Amino acid sequence: MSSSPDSRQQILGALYSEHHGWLQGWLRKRLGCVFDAADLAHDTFVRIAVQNELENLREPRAYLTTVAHGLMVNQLRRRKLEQHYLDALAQVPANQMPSPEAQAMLLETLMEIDVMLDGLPPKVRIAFLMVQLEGASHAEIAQRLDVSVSSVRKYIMRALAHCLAVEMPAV
Amino acid sequence: MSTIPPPTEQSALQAAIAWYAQLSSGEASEADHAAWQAWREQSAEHHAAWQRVEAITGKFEHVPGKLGMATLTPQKRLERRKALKQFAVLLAVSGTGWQAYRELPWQSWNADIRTAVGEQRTVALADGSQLIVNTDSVLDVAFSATQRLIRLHQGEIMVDTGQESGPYRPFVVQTREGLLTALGTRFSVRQTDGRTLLSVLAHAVKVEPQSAPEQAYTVSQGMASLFSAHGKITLSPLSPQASSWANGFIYADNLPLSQFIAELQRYRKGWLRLAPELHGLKISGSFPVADTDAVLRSIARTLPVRLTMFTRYIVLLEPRTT
Repeated sequence: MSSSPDSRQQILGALYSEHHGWLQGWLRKRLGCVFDAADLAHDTFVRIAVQNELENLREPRAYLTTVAHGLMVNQLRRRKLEQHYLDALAQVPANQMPSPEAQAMLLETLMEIDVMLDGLPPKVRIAFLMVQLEGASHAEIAQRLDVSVSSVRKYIMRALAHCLAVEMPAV
Repeated sequence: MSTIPPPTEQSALQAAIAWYAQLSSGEASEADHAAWQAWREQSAEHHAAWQRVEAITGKFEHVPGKLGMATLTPQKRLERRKALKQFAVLLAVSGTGWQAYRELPWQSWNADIRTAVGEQRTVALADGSQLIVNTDSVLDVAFSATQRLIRLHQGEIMVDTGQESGPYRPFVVQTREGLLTALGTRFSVRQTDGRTLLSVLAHAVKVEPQSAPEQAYTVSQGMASLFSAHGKITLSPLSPQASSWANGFIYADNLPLSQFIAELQRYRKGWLRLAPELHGLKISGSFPVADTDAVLRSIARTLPVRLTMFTRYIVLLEPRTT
């Protein structure tokens, strides 16, 4: 049972005016930065605005912090990946450096891949990436990871099945 | 040689996953490829399942391999062991390394040098010589008090011998077919199946075939020679291709496409499959070996060739019908 647009607006408005300041403070304590906290508080409300169940919120602050925490973890993860990306980019010879547009697109792609592979055990992840990005044979991967070739085959199948499940179009 | 049962009884997606594992293994045979194509065309479900696999693998297509690996698997612990092994050779480049090397008793010491498919590497040796190691190569450096020996097990090297002070030690490259002694400075050696190809860019190199040392002969500057363990097969003027690889290019002058693709394949993992109708097309130009994707795209732009990529491993080159 979903609410009418008008009542949704009212609930959201009430949530915002009652808790926005508090949430921003909560985030500032954790992030140590006013601007990040403001951005994330805003993103949290945007996220909540597109959710369905709003009228049954018993503990609005617990709900808000759960959503905000998820976004915070996501953002840290993205920053970490971005840092690794910049480190890697620094190793690329100047004449092979992709254009700024290409760099930004590449970072987006890498983040998408990172999210898609999230939850796989490290060896499974590395094996799949070696296949996809290095074109490594299973024998080479087995040697590098110090496992059997048949394990590599299982890793590859598991990784692909995982990606297919993650990318399954919502029905 | 495929060890998996034909995946007909599994669900289409399970089968697609199994096919993907087989095709990416590096062990897939011609028969596997044919069977996979037949499977894919067998039903709409199979086709759709494979398209879903391609939607995943397609995400990786435009990610440069090294950059992607460095970003997504930033810990490089696995590389360390390999790097340590090569320490001995590379150490010799630095000042302290040189010192340490000179103070070693004159005993032979070995170091493995390996390059991956598509990799080229320059290695400075302790005597001031320089090796450029081409794609997919394996060699040992075994210097002793009496000679500077390189054992080339696989692949190709370009040698620039250095000048040593002190007692003369011959610089020798050993292949499966024989010994090559440098009588000068710059030459390249390629080990292929049962044959060695020597190209001499400066001065001369003496060749001693493994099973017929009495048939030793000298190849001088500007000449190339192919030989087997039993002796000389050909001696001919040097082609520009002989040295262009060391600058990172494949040089082609009206080369049949089949030969060009065979050369390009050396720098690229997976399969490049050229339709038989295209074998005789001619290609000219200089092509960078570091970016085989770009080379393939430029072929598709300039010749009547259509590229179809199924993951990074399998690239089909077919006639373009417009």
